[in-house]
Amino acid sequence: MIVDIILSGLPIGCIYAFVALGFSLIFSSVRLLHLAQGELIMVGAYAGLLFSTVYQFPTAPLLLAACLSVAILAVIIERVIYRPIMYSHASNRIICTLAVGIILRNLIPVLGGTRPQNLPPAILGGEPLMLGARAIVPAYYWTIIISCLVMVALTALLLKTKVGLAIRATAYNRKISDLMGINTGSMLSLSFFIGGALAGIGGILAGKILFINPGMGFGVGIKGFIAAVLGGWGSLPGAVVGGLGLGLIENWVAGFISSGYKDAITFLVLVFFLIFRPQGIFGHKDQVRS
Amino acid sequence: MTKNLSWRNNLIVPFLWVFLLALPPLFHSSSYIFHTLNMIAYFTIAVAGLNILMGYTGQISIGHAVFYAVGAYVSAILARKFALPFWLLIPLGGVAAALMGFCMGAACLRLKEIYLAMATIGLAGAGEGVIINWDTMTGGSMGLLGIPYFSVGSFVLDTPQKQYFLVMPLMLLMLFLARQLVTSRVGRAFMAIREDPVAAACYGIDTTAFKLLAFTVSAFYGGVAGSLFAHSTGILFPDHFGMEVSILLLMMLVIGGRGSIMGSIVGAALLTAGFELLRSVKDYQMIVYGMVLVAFILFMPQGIVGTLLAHRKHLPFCSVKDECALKGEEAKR
Repeated sequence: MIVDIILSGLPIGCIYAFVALGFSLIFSSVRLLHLAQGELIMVGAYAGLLFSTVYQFPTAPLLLAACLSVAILAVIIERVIYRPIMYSHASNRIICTLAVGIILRNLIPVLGGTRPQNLPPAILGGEPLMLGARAIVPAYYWTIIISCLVMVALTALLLKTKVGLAIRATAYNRKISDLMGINTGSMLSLSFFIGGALAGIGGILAGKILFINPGMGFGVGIKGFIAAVLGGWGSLPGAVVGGLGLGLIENWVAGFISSGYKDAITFLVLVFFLIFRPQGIFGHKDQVRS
Repeated sequence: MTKNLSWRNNLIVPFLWVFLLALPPLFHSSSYIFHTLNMIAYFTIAVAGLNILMGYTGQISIGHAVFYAVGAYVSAILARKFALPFWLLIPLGGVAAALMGFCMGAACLRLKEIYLAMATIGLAGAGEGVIINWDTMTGGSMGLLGIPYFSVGSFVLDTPQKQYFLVMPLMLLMLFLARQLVTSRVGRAFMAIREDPVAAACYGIDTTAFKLLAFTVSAFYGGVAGSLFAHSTGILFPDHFGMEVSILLLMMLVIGGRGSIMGSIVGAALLTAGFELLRSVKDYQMIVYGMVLVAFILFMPQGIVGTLLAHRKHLPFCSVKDECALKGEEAKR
């Protein structure tokens, strides 16, 4: 039973971690609670659907194409909508991200229909992996492998490269980074580019594990958001731990308590965390008090 | 402000409102029109509550529909079980929501505003989950049916026309109370917190207590609106209270004007009427609304009433008192 919960909880946890990474990255660099992140995942899934069914892309180019298209969309949204109100009141900016989410969520059914769909079996396909008597479907192990790769690549990008250093410097203090000759405006766009790219890959993975439908973004987005809070808002390792942890908690609740109350209980976990440990697992205490 | 001016506001403006609200019954008898007008009234009450919290106190609530839901379900369930009269059900719905808002606020208001926003999303999600799953009490996703209409003695308010005469005066009362609140000492404390919490605290305002008060009052308004809604439609579904509704309330607030009680009625009326007008292009409706919301935030963040007040000092049907909110907006810029 425990093994089953872990095996089915990890892949979905990886998807939550993808969303949570996007939330945390964008929050720590742009100080924006980007509530449309889940919708970007949904756009990624539909992009995957478009490229795989209409243009017959195989797996690797498909991931790249979905990644790029969502990343470009994210940058456009940032430039056109978020950039002009960057210094506006926090509630203006949050409402704007909600509005972007609403637009995307309602635009996709007009373009792609509301019928739940699935990616073709050739995408992320292969033989099931036998683990003793249990078979792990290819979508699950591919999700875990790709997530690990992406997380390693993201960490390397942020910690080992000059661009990563510039992003971190911008996140730490925009004014000083400007004085140091960093083009902070591009760094903010780059954060959105990376956030969008993460959503693109996350969307393909989510499209393999869940059904692709216009409402999926909201569900996945809110879970990723909870994962980001659990792990520590703005912390990248926290996002991964929070995502995987939430996937496991959710499956544990569904297995042992009640699958109907699965969502309500994860929301209560969020509220309890906000009350008793608002900084999350990896956050610092001083960033949360008003 | 001269004495003459305040006399004008305090007596003539309410009379004009009552006169205007009495007009539709004279000219129309279609229940569709009245249903729409009643919907505007419920949303106005809820948005006025949200306005006290977001527009005046500057705190963010993204899951406000949960209070609307609590008011609706508590009132509906009490009515089904105990057949209470309407003058008890409406306040009870409000108090239930206010109690929830109080507990919620007490837990989360110590945190920065962004965390409050997160907590309200969480609570709204949990509330929706409970409504769907606690089906012995709430009817779950099949809906709660057969909610009794309000009745005065043996006179049952079973058509939108009859309900109009309960809902509209109540809306006026709630708006009046809201305006009394925000123009009082408490309201000035709210606005001080919105402008600068640290400065407000330096002037001896207990910021946490006032934020909590704003949150509780705001939830109470949501609950009252929910209770009215429940007993005039007679059925409740979880869909009536989802995230979309929370966002719709936010849209009404922003478009009408944050920091202006009259803005609540403008926002609620425009968007509710818009829903009816855009019924033929239902798929595009929320896209249009989303774009309008973005446009307002980018180009007109003070909303319609705020902008009108900025250009014309004497807006008809809108009290000069709302200008103190406007001055707050100007100071912020």
